[in-house]
Amino acid sequence: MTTELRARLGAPVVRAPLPVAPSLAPLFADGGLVRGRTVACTGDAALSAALALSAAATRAGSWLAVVGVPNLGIAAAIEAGVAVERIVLAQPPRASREWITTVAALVEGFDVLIVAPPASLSQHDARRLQTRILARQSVLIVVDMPALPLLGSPDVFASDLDVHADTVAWSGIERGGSHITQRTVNVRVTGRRCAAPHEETVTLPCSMRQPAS
Amino acid sequence: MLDAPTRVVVVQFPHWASFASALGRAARTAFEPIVQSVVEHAPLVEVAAPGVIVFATRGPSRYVGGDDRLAALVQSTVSGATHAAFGIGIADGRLAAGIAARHAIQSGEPLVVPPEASARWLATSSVRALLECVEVIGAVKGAAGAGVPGADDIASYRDVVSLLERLGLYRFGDVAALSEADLIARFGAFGRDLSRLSRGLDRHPPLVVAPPPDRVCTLQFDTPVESRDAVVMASDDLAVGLVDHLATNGLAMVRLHVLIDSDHGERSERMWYRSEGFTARAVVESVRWQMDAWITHDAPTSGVVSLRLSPEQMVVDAGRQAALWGGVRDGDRHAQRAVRRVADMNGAESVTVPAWRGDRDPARSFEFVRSDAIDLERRATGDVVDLATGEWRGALPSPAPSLVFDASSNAPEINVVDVAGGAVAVDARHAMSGDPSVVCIGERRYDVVAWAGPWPVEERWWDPRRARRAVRLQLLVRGAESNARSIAMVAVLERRVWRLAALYA
Repeated sequence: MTTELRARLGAPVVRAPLPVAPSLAPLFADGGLVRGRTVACTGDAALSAALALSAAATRAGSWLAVVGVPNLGIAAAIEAGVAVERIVLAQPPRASREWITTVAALVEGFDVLIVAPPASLSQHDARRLQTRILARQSVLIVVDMPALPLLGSPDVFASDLDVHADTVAWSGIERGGSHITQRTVNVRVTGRRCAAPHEETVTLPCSMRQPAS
Repeated sequence: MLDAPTRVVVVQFPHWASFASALGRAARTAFEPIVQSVVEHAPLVEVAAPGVIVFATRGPSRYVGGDDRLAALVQSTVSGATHAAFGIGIADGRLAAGIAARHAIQSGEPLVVPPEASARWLATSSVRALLECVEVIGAVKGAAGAGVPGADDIASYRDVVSLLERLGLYRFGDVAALSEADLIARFGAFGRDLSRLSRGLDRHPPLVVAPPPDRVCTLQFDTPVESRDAVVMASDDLAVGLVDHLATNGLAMVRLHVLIDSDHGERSERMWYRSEGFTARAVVESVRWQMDAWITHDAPTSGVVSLRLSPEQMVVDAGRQAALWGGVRDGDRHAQRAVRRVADMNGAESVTVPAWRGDRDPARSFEFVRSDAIDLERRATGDVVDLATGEWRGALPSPAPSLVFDASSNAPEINVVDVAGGAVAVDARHAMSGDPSVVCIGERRYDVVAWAGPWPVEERWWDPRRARRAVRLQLLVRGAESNARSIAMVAVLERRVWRLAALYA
């Protein structure tokens, strides 16, 4: 009934949220990534968190576009649980106009977009893209990593959710011995579409399986 | 009566046609509104090239009450849609209508040649009109493949016209008087078309049975072509011709055999497959890909002399073919369409998909394949098994870094400094000159908290040219600020230069 009404009013039909990995699910009151929203990923584990967030959706058949991250480690994406046959990497020109046209075209075909926007992107263009995301009911994940060398992006998106992922512990590595075996990340979800902040400590890459209970 | 030419309307924009080849896709886009305006009167219009619209009068004329009424209507709608100069001609057969349209451009009024008067009307027209109607009647067959004409075709028509004039045949009437056999003897395959055209007929007789199409397209270069781009560009016309030719027969090819021969007899041949059917663009991209591969791997010693495209498998073109098995979901289709659009905008190399290659270097364990080389739908339905993530001896241990830099191309140079203040060096036994203490990346300085390694990387030691000797160091560093977090990275030392190889972002 509601669906029919909405359709008649021209409002976008509300579709089920995109699924997230079981270990991340407690962070999202809606049970997943609500379509049409913009999620800003920050912190030193921003990119890993973005991959972890989109993994379950790709396994459920959604396509993932990673835009402007030419050096994405595919092995990391696979470890995160991303269905690699549904991942596409796009390197649009960094000029604001071309960048926005490219991403707008990708929105038409992709449920999840992980983007590292160029520094030149204006707030106006960012909002236009968000409108498109809302209309097409995709999820935009903006990766922002100013803490890391060589990376960083402008703060021009009005994000609905802020996912802050900071590594709290690196296990295994010593002064000259072993190697990194595990990464413990503190993930904090806040934002204007988040009634109450949620916080979880997870190990990355996080397991796609339901935790044994 | 069976061989009667189709009565057609030709709308010609003289300036458009001459710029079309230079503008490419932009010309097509800009022409679209005009096409749309004509579609109001005739749903089945054919846009031979930007600048030329052709459609059969049969339905529309009867609907509006005669050819003159139709011509006047089209004239008024088109002049409402554009300020560009144009002419409308109606006649039996494309050539006659095309010439009529040419006359109409000058007079500004549509020119309607009465039914069954085309042959008489043509008889007095100069054979030079062939040059002006290339887009309408199609290319010289055999010169550059059949189909949509380009600049080359005008040149080949120029040869035809010049030969006709040297033979003393100035008007179509003179040509029509000759026997078809004589024309074929003098002009080859095009002679038959020439004979038919000058008698006011269509180039191709009406088809009685479904055509087993002349499917193989060959492009011969008079002089060997050295440049890859030139070959690729030349393949464009050929591809468009082939794809359009098949499309007019309601067919699309899904398997294409591309054969390229060099002047020294070297040969590159490959089979290409696209489940959704080849577009001309896809054909061109295949040729480009094949040329690249050929040049890099086999290094042909001379230029290309011929290019052959032969469709090996065809399907009835239903717009798009479904995957062979497994359902294609809407999502797969949408994604593929979006990828194609973006590839059109920014070039196919800007959109890539990962494919497992297997290499110890994290930046090279996957290669990024241009999206147009892979059928995304088949890949999504699990038909393509080219992904494996097996353990690769010497590869970085899990967890994998989320950003990887290729040492040979984009890995930034960094400084890894030991306690003594000098750059960390690694000797032949993989012992470090001192414990790393500081890492500098650009202007930023990080203190080393922990490290693992050094791990030797020795690749292809048996091949002195491609051998690679390097060491990797996994580092955990922290910025100088009090609230700074630890950052994990991999640094690689090769030829005494440290580079950033990976970041755990």
